[in-house]
Amino acid sequence: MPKKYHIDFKATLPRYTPQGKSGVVDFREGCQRCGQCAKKACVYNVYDKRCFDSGQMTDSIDYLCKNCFRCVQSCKKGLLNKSINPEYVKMGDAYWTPEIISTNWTQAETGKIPVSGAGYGGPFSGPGFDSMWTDMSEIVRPTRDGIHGREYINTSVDIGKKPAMLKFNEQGALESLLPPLIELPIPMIMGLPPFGHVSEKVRIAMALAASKLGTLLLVPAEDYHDSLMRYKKHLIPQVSIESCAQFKNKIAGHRAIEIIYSKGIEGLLKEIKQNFPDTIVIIKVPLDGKEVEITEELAIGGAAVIHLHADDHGNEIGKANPRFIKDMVRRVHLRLVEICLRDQITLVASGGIAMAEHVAKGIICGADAVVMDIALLIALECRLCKNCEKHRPCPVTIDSIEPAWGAQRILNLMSAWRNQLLEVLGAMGIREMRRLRGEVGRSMFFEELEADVFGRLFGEKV
Amino acid sequence: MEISFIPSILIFCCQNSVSSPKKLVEEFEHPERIKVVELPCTGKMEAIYALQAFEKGLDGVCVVACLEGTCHYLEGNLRAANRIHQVAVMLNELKLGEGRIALLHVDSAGSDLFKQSAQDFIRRIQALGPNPLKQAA
Repeated sequence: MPKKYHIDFKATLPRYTPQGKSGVVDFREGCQRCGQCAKKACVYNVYDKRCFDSGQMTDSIDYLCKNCFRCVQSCKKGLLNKSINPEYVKMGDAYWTPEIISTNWTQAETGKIPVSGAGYGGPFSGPGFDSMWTDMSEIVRPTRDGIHGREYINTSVDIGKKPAMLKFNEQGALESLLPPLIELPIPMIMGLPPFGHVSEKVRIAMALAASKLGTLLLVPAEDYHDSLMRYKKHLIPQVSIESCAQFKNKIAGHRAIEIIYSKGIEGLLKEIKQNFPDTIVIIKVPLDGKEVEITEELAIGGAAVIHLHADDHGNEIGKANPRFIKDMVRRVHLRLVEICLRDQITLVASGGIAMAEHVAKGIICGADAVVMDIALLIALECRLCKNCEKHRPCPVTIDSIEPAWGAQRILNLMSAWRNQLLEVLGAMGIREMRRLRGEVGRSMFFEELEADVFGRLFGEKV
Repeated sequence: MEISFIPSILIFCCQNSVSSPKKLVEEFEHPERIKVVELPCTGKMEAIYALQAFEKGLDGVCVVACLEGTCHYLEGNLRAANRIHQVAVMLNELKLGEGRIALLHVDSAGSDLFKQSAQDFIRRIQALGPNPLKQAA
C-alpha cells in the first residue's frame, strides 16, 4: 500500500496575544474579600494566567476566556461582567469576519479542526459561499475507522493539460507526446497576499511551507529573489506580457509559470512553448464579466491552466453589483463542458478563499484547485488592520517572523483545512478529490431552491 | 513657540461613548502616532494598562468614558476615574507629570467634542515634552 499523504502539524504558539472575543470587565474595587473568590473557581485558570501585553494593548484574559460565565454568575457582589471585545468585533471586514480570522488563528496554532460544542446559532443561508450547502448524506454511518483509516481519501489534483486521447503504435507502445503535468497532494495552491508586510522572511516561510506540503507558491517575478531559489521546484513565477522578457532567466527551469492575461497573449504562449516545452503555463484571467469568452478562446487555443481570479472578497472585479466567485467559476466550467474541452484544461480559482469549506465549494463549482493568499497571512497572525496599506508598522511585526515558525503555522492551517476536506469528502461518500470537481449533485444552492419553491408563487426575483 | 516634538498617544475609548473613534483620529494631524483601543467599558481599564503604556515610552494616555450617570455598566466610568486618579498620583510621585493621563467624558453624539478634547490633550502633552522614561530607555 502506498504511503499516505500526511501533513506534520505541531502546536505553534502565536508571538503576540491574539485579539480575544471576550471583554471581561472586572470591578475589583468593590471586592468584599469573601474568601470564595469566583476568579479562583475558574476551571481554565484564566485569572491566574492573566497578563497584559503593553505592546498590543491586549489583555490575555479576553483571549483565554472560554465563555462559561461561571465567574460572572459566582461573584457574590456581581463585580465581574462580560461583554464582547469591541476590538475583536471590528477586526477584518464584512467578508473576512472576526470569526473567520480567529478560527484560522486557532487552526494555525493547533493544526486541528476547530470544534464548537455549543451548536450552531447562526443563519442557515447567507451571501457568497454561505448560500451553498454541501451534501452529507453518507454521514448516516460512521466510517469503518474514520477519515484517516484504511479507506484512503485522496485529495490529489492534477495541474496541467490532459490529452483528450492517447495513441499507441502497433506494438502497443505509447505514441502520443504527454504534456507536462503536476500532481499536487492537496487542491490548494499558495499565493502571496495582495497586501501585508510581505518581507523576504515571509516569502521564505511560505516557500518552505509549499515545499513541505508538496504544493506550489505563486510569486511575482519582481519579488523572486535568490533566497527563494532553493525552493524553485515549488515556485511559480508570475509575469505579465510586458515583463516576461525582463524576467526570462527567472522563468527558466520551473515546472510552471503564470502569465497575467492581456490581449495578444497567444504569441507569447507559442514562444514559451517552444523555448520551455516542459513548463506548464498558467494564464491568470480576471473575473470581470469577460471570463467565459476569454477562457473559451484560450481553451480552444490549447491553453493548459486558467487561473480565474476575483477580488479579495470573492467578488467580480470592477462591478458595482458584482457576482460572486462561485457563480462565475460555475459558468466558466459549464461553458467548457459544453464545448467538450473541460477535461483537457485545468481551472484554478482564487479570491475570497477564507475557510476550508470554501475550497470544497469552489471545487464543486467547477475549479480543479484554489489559491489561498490572505488566509496564509492570517496564519502568520495578521489582523487585517491594513496598517500596511497606510505605510504604518505592522502591529504583529509580520515582516520579522522566523521563517521556520511561519512555515509551521501555515502547515498547521493546511493540515486543519485538509482534515476538513477529508470530513466533507467522507460525509459525501467521495474518496477522490478529482471526482468532486463540478459535482453540483452533491450540493444545493439557496438561490435555486428559492426560485424553485417560491418562484412559482411570487414570480421571478428582481 | 515652535514645537517639533510629536507625542505618541494612547486613547482608551469606551465603545458606548464615541462611535468610530479610530476614524475620527485619522483626521488628526499625526494619526500614526495615536493608538486607539476600544473597550467594552472604561471600567475594564486597569491602572496597569496605563502604567505599562508609560513604561513602554508612550507620552500620554487619554481615557474617553461616557458621561456621568450614563454608563452601561452603571459605575464603570466612576471606577475608571478612580483608577486614573491613582495613576496620576503615581506619575506625580515618579515626577513624570500627572497631566500625562486624562479622563474625558463624551457621549455617543459627541464626536466634535471628542476631537476637540483629544486634540487639546495632545497639545498639553506636547507642552509637557517627551516621556522621560522613553529617553531613559
